[in-house]
Amino acid sequence: MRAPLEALASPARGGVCPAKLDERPPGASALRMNLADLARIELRDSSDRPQRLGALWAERPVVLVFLRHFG
Amino acid sequence: MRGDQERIQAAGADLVFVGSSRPAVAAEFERERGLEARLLVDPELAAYGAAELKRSVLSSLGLESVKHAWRAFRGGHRQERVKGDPWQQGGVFVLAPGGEVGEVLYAYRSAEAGDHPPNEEWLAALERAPRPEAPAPP
Repeated sequence: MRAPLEALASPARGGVCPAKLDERPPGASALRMNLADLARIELRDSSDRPQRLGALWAERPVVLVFLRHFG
Repeated sequence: MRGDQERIQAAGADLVFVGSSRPAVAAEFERERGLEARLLVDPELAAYGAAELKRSVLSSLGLESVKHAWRAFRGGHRQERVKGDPWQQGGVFVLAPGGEVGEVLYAYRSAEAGDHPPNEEWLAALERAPRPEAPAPP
């Protein structure tokens, strides 16, 4: 757990969240993504079991981290 | 970063990683890192594409990515062989129930290799999300 979270902590430009829309209008469009398309996608986990992405946030929030690579 | 994991749990949320490789590589990564989070694989880059994440040679080999790599190297991090698509960039999203398909509370798309958001940013967005209701006692 430690390494990937630490890997996320580095100087950066900042993301976009609703509370910051007024402060960061150039990034506001980043939130307007097609979540329905993402929700429909089914991926496999490390045990090769299928997982529909939309189910991840159907009942509780999820922090979804897309890694550049493993390793 | 243990504190971050605790804050994720306190918010009633899950942490899920997505990588661009195969299940066997993900399983090896899990074992090596002792991950407590769930790991999904997306070798076709379908989810990366739907999340509108950047993919280009320049974003992986450009000047900014070299600066990030040098900063990481000085910090003691050593890049191993890339397991996944080398030109694909990552990102961080906080997604929550709401509406028909949920809602996006936070989105960060890396511009180049080594570009990550400060953890405090997405943690703050997560902590503003409504808490999931606890199950009613039997």
